[in-house]
Amino acid sequence: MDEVDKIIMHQLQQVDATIEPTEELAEFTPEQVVRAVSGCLAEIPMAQRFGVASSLAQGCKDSGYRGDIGYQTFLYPNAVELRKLLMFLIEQLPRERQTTEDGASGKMQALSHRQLLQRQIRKELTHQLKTPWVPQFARSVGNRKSLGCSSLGIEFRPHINLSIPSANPEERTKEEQQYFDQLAPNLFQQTASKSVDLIASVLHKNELDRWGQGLPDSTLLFVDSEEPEAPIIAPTQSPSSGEAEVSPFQELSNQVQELRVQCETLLTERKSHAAALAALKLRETKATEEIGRIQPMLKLHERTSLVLADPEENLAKLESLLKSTQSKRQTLTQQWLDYRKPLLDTLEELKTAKEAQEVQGIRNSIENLEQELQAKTKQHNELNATLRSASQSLAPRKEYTRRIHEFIGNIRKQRADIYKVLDDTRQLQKQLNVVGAQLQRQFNYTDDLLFQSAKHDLHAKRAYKLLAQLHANCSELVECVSLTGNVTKQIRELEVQIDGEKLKNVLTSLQQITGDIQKFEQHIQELQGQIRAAEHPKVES
Amino acid sequence: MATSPGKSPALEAGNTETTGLLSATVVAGLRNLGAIISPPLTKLLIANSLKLTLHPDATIAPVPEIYASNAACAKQSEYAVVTLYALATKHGWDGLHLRQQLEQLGLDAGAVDELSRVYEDSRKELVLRQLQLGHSFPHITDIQWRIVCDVKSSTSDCSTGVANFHINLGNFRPSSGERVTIVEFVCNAEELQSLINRLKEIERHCNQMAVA
Repeated sequence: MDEVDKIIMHQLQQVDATIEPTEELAEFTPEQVVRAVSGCLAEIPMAQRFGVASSLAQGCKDSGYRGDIGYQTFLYPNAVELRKLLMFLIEQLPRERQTTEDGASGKMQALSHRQLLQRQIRKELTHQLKTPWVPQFARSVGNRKSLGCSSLGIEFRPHINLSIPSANPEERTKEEQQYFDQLAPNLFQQTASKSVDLIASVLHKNELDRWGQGLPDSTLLFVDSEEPEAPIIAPTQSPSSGEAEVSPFQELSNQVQELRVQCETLLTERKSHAAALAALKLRETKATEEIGRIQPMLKLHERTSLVLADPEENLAKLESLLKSTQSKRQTLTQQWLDYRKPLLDTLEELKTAKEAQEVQGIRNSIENLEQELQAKTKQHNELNATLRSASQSLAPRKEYTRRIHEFIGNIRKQRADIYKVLDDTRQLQKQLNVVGAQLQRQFNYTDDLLFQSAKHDLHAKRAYKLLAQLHANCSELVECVSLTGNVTKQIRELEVQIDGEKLKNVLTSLQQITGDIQKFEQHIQELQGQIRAAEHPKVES
Repeated sequence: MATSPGKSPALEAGNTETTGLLSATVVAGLRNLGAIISPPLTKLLIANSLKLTLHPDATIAPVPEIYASNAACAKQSEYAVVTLYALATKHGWDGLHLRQQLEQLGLDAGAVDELSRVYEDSRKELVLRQLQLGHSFPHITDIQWRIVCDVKSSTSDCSTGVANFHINLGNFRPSSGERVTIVEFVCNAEELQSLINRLKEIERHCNQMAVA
């Protein structure tokens, strides 16, 4: 049974993480039992253990548990019953619970509105799918309440020019008043047309009345419409006044013409000047380039001519200069070499030092890698060992499934046997019935025959009496047999019950109960003592 | 008929006293009730207006006595009552709120009672009537089709022999029962098949939503 217990433990752990796993169900404390069962069922807010236990039992019964269950199952548990109960409950758990449990609790609140809406949509759709079909013209009556208005919409089409008497009767003219009193159609007549809607019209007019007051009114609108006309009027007036002054206009236009011509000539002149300017600039740049090329040549020529003026003296001067420069150069080279040597030495030193450092680093890393390799190998070995042990521990599972298969096979065999026995029993019953019926018919016939002859014959009369007696005795016998059968059946049932009760180890539970009762009695006595102690001082006082 | 430029005392009173949802004409029309128009006629006028509001297509017997004495005022009041109920329904007022608004206008007490009573009694119908009103996408409730094939055209004298489905989706006007075409299209058998599959997908989705 340990495998079953392990499975139960695993499942309970998933249902409620606070349940501490124990090796066997036999070690379960009452508190753990209560917690496990209450974790499986919904939480029940009751203070007392008894109340909780009995409501848990009721919950189990309600969810279809058929075994013997009551508050004692939770307060004084035994392994057999508990195993049965928990296995039943775990079977009843919804399959998705384990996967959704973690995510659902967090999202519950965030999604609640959306989920509610979705649920509502779902409900609505289900409802719509279930409603009977109603022809379209009858839908306004049939499904209107449940399905809203469907396609029976009315377009929002207002009558934009309702004729209703205005608010102030004093402002109406006599003709208007007469018109409204006699001829004007009422509101409903005005909106009777199919193309407009009454409510749309009145809403439209109400808004127009409210906001039309603030807007530019008819008079303002007139002013607005005048403005664009103004420019049209102005040109029509200007020619009439301009006719008198033809010559100045002509003059002015002539002047304009002249100025335009002048402007054009000036523009062409400017263009030609600009072209000339560009050409000149180009020439200037070329000239400056030439100058730049010629000047160094000029300098060289000047200096050679100076040297050539007094050749011998200048030559000696130049030679001495050359010598001094050479000696200077030699000293500088010497100096340079002096400086360079120590620096080269230090460079060499540094290079060797660096190389040594690198080598050291590589060695260190090699050592590290070796250590790591060793650790990894060790780990590998360990893992191999665990793998082997794991694969070994897998074996019981296989064994277990094999046993389950065996059990199933056995159960099948037994079932076939049971069916066979049932068939036999049925056959037997049939035969019994046939024989019984035959016997009955035979008896009836004999009875009749003897009765007929008993009227005339004395022996026959006696025979008839004997027959009756025989019949009575036989039926008594049959009754006895059936009674014996019933008693045997009862005995067997009782034996089974006794076995069951034996399994429940009543003795320990009884001891526990008596222990509890004693504790309670002690507690009650203590309380009574306290009460007395509390009462006495009162009496004395 | 434009309204008179807004300097009327009624308008000013209306603007200061109410929330300003009612126009001056409406306020004036409401003030006629129970004053210029006698209380029994007021009752009749309100009932008549409500009936005609709720059943625009119904043919209701004309009530000449309403217009017998002061027709202009009666017409104005009819307009006022209909507008009042439409606005109250639009803004979701309950009976008490309507009464408060009307009492602020200083109307005749009997008229206020009658107006609020009628409104409370038939609020549900008014809401249902106004819920239908508005602009919406057309509902398609009917379909007609025929199979078409060209015989000849301006560019070709012989038939192409291609058969097409000419499909017309529409609905029936709720008021008159007359059929309205919403969309009309032509498609071949393959296109039709894919359209039907899409529609079936909708049905499946609907079923899924309902079951899940």
